[in-house]
Amino acid sequence: MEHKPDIDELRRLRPELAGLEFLREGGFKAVYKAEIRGRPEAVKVVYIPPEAEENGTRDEIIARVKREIDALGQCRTNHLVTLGSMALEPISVSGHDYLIYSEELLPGESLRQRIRARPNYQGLRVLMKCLMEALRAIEQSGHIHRDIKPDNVMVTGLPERPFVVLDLGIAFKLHGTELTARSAGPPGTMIYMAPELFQPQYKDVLDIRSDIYSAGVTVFEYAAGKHPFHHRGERDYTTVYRILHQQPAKLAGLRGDLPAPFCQVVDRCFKRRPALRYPTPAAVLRELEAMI
Amino acid sequence: MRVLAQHGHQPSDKITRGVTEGVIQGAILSSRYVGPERVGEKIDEIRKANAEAEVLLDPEYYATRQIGTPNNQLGYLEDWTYFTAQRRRDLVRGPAVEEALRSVFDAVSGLDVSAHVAPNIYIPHSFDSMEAGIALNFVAGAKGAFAPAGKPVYATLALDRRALLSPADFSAFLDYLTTLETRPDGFYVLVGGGLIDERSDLVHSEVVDANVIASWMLLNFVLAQNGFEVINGCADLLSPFLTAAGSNWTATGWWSNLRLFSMGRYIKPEGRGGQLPVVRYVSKLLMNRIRNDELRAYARIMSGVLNGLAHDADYAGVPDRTNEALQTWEAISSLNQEVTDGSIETRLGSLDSRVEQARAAYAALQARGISEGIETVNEYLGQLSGAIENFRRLAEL
Repeated sequence: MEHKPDIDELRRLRPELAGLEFLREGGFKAVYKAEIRGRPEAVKVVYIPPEAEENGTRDEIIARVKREIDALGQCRTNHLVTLGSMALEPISVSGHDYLIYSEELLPGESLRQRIRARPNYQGLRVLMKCLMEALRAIEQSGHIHRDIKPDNVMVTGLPERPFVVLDLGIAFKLHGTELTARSAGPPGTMIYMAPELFQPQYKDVLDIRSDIYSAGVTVFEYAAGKHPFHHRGERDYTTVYRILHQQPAKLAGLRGDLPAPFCQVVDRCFKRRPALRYPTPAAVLRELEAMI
Repeated sequence: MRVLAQHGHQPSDKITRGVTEGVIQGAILSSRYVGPERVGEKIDEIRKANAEAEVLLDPEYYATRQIGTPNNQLGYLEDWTYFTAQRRRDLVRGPAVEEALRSVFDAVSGLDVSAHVAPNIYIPHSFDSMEAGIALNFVAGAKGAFAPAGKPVYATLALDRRALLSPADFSAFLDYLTTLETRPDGFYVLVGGGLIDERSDLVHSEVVDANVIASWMLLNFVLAQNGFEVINGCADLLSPFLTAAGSNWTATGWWSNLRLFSMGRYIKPEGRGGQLPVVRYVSKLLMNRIRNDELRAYARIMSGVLNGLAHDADYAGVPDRTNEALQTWEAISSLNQEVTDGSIETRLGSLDSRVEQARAAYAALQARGISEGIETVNEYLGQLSGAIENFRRLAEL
């Protein structure tokens, strides 16, 4: 993260954040662990670059974070991270501008760290179910997540919510908001993006099936221990060519121990044509229910 | 299996005999060939023959396009109250589409049909067109307009083969179709070729094109995967291809213009009179319709050209038109049955085998000196096998 805030300065400015500890960082965001009124929470700090003022993107950045918070507030499911007790507010640390707010602190680690675990059928089925429950809630709130990937799924070890989806930072509200100022760039993480998102006019075709695609790739990767299109060390653009033009291996061919109907469900989730995927997360859940 | 009669000119007792024997499970009645005054009686006739029969009525609203065309032949369509000319510019507006749906509903809602076929316009060239947009509005409004009848509703999709040849537009259309908020229970699909009259045959038609058939199969596959029932009208010998891809019902009739759809059917052909087409036999082995004299000659060399089904017996002499229709339904039903069960790969494998067997049979006949029309047949079979291959690619199998 550019200009990660100084943690001592942050502690001084926000003394109510007891035991503040750095957890992880992304491009514009740092995440800390802290106790707020005796409850552990994840404190998120989003950097607003100084040029944002000049190029007019400051409001856009603030709106994007507000959108993420609004989206989280509207989704009703155990399988999405929930908001914490600290409401969104601006903060200045060492002369740099940030936004700060909190989410619940989830135990465990990201699915990325478990990607070579070779999970069994029940584990995979539960993952697929949790992802689809999360997507169903996102769909019902009128949003698209747009960044489902192993890094954004927490493996919590909690029996009632074993997998939890994080980060609605680039969520898109259907029939509503404009896209972010970064809309000239890729609307997601390229190697998990559905083929239709590479079209210049992707907003015309964007619907929940794009998230179902990314969820399918995520489950495939967890099941097979490798991404269906991406090869280690290669450039993303090479992967994108495969996404757009090549047929992935069938999951059953890589995990012969899994039930064939389950493998077919996973494979269908990330068909190139949206019309060949499941139309809704609920449709995937119905298939999963039928294969207990 | 799961074959319907495509009703048309001179039905005589073909449909009632078909449903009595069980070679068809019902019929799609044509509003062009039965008017509002007699349609109830026609439905009763079929129900008396078989109480379980599926009876549908195609309102043929898409033919309103031909109102005012010189030499049109619209038959009883002009007696139906809903059958009035509409301007595309009016239909682009939602209320005009709702009004059209309501007027058809008002005319047919009291009929004892098994399900309602909702009206639509014809998509003549491309899915990236004003007509395609209007057609989507008809589809989106179908369930709502026909819901008061309390019966399943099939939205009509009537389109020209050329629309299937533009992959990007077709794909976008499918994406929209599969995310409708108000979904009909199913679709009644008609794919139109060029000019077809009562004497044309499938082998020579523009529909027999690997890309057209593959896309038609994809349409069925996508709709079935998304939980819709699919009826393909005028499917004839392409029935097993569409069934393998997911179609629930296919229909065909006794004249060529009931076996292949064309908007040209509503225009009187110029300067064409004379003899009726000769009686033909549908050979499962050859995947083709052959003349009676050909059947006799081929059967002497290769008994497999006969299907081994009940209506083969009618061809000991010269069958009448009713028996010809019954034989067609029997053969197509049997072909459909072969590709109804199993995974999509299994079903396509069965189709592949069928086409290969036909190719081998024609090669064997040619080796015995029978070469009439062999080039056309080889081209036809080549398009069929190409269609299976293209479909596999389109469906990402």
